[in-house]
Amino acid sequence: MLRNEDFDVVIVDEASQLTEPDTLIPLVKGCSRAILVGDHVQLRAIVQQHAVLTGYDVSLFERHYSLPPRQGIGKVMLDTQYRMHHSICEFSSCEFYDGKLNTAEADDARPLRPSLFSWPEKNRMVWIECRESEDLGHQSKSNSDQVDVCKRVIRLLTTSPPSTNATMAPKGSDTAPSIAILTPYTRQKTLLATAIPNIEVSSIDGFQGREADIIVFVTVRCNSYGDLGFLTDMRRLNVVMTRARAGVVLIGNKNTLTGVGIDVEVDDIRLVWRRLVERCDVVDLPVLEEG
Amino acid sequence: MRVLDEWLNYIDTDEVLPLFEKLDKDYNVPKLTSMKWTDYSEIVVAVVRDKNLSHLRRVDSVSELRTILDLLKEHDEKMMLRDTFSHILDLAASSSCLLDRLLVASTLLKYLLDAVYLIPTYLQSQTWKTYKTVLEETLVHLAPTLLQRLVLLSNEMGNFIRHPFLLLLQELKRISLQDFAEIVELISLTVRSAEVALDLLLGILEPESSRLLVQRPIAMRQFTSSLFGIALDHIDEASSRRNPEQEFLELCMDGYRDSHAVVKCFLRVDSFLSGVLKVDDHVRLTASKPPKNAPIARPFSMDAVVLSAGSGEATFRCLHHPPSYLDQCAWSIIQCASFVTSKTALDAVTTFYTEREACCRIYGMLLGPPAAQIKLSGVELPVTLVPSLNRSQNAALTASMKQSLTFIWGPPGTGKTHTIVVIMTQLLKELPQSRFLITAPTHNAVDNLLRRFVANSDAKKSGVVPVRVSTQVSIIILAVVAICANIRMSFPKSPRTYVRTRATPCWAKISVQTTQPAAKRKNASKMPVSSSQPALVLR
Repeated sequence: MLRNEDFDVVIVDEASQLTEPDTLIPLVKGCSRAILVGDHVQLRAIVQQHAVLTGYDVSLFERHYSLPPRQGIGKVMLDTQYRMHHSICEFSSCEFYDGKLNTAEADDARPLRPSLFSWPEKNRMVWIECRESEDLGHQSKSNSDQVDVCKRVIRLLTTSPPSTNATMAPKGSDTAPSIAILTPYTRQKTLLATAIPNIEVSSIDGFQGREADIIVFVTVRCNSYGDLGFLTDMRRLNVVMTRARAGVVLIGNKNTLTGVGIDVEVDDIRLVWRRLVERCDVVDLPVLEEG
Repeated sequence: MRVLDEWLNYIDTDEVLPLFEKLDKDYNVPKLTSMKWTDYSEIVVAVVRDKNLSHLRRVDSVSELRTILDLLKEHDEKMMLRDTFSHILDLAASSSCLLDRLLVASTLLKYLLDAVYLIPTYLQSQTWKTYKTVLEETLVHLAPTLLQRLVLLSNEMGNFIRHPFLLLLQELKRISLQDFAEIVELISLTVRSAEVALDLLLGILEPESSRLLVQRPIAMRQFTSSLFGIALDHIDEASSRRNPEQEFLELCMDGYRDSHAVVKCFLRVDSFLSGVLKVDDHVRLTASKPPKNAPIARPFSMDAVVLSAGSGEATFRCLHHPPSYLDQCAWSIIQCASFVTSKTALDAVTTFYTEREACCRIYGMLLGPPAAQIKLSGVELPVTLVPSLNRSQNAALTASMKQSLTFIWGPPGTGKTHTIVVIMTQLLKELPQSRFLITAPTHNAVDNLLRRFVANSDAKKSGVVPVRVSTQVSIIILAVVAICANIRMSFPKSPRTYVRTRATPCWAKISVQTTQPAAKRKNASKMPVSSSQPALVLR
């Protein structure tokens, strides 16, 4: 229908998630001014495996952003973010945004509602160690122990501490924080969704562009040979780490992810994981009291 | 109660009888053994039936030569045809035939269209070397068609088309972008194995393209890699669907369109396909079983694109030429994928690199370095810094007003949408005559932008009323309408702003329209919303 229409000004939002030919579709209609908005360090367009060989997933936006500056072309980075607590933002800023991403909100603008979960005083990134191996077999990976740990974390996060409940009347303004559980594997996603019915469980790709107060990131991979699978994709890691407003809970196995204590080559990806783990405060879950 | 039990017992059965039997038909392919020879001359019979090639020497008319070749081709005698063909070439080279040698050479060259696998035989013959200078123009003229027909053979011959394909390309000096794109389009629709496609695209076309395409190197590289990407993406997607529908079709010829055969089928009322087939879907039609008189042959299979799919009837544009027994056998169908997005992208790429500045004034900038300093006039517009924007957001606004191409890098939570809305309102104010197109890869992103745009006070002042137009009207428009009551559903004749989403596989649009006189608005709302046609399914 728009085939024969002409347009002088073209604005493309999320241009880094479009292949170059797709970006050209609106631009070949007599365009004389174009504004492309995107973030090329988040996920690219999803394309089939053989098309990746020709660089089909690299957007026009990304190709241009790596070119030297030229007259007539403007490149501007929006450098102030209004979403994350600064302790969350710092990781992505350092790893993916050349340390240029600043936080506008003051530290106390992102309060956490009191719960049984013991958040550290300042840091909003916590690590929960899970030493049990991933489930064997299956192409899409899963880790049933991490499902259990995640379930306990959620219970703690959503339960108010007994003291406040007893002493104070429930505050009207104090709405429950939004929580989302993210995991890179479909199989794990299905297991989590079955085990934890009332909380949103999503794949990382499906959550790009969205946000939540608290993100629980279930990393799944735990094996003696240090295979990371989907976790080698740093764009995906960036997406997970930039979804949370107030807090991030990572559930995983340090040794598998950082390559410490196992016999694997330490590459850039391992180093990123090491720096990520270093930024987190380790939180131990309280001993289970059955009842 | 006992009667009821008996009755239940009576009707209780596990057997499900189909409403119609699955139809399956025996058919035969033409064979030389079942021919009547009385209509043919003595020489033709001697060569074709008795396989006595020495009689070729006596052929004294071009029409007789064609008859021999056609007969062999019709009966799918590939080996015999190749032997005959090369024998004639030898005769012509040694000037021991009755016909004029140049005439033979040009006849055989044109015959390659009917049997493209003979290209190596022809191009490596002495006859071609002798007459190359005279016939070269004919070959260049035939080349695009020959290349396309070779591609069509890929399913049957697999990697064997590589050699003729390369030989033919090497004979050529240049190839137009249009022809090149058409070949890649055909590859994306008809080559079924990703390996063969990779070999054709990256192994042959890419190395040859730098010689064949007349373009700046960077444009040539971008052009080919974009086309190859689209093709490989579609091939992978199409081959991920392997199981045919549990239903056979009966096909019949329905004329020709753009030199492609069109076939028609009737869909039964209970057909699984009615309502599933969409226009521009890519389908694979395969004979349900091997022919009766060649039980171990692979059933013929062809690629087609859905031209129309109404209730009770569907038509397909066939890329392969349908066989002579089209209406005698039953056909199974695989619905591969929609070709709409791929086709639109292929066309956009071709337009961009052939029309260049004519279709996109910032072509040179979009392409990348090195480029001559093109200064477009009227680019710099006055900018009003906005207090609600921070320093970097105002920088983005300034760049968008001063430059003709702006890239805004928006990390998470940096107020991208708000910035875009401010840029839109200022551009709308400064360029009241311009038409705007706003696009994003998802419906969500577009809805979000639209919602924020209509909520913006400056946008309200500008007097534009946004109209969300989409092929999935029922879902999207209603959602947006609920949010802002002043949105009007229509397809305006001259919209100010469109928003396009690539929610694949089709276009969905938002448009923004200046408030029009009531008469015109009424007119617009009367226009049929084309999306009330079955829209393509959202993935």
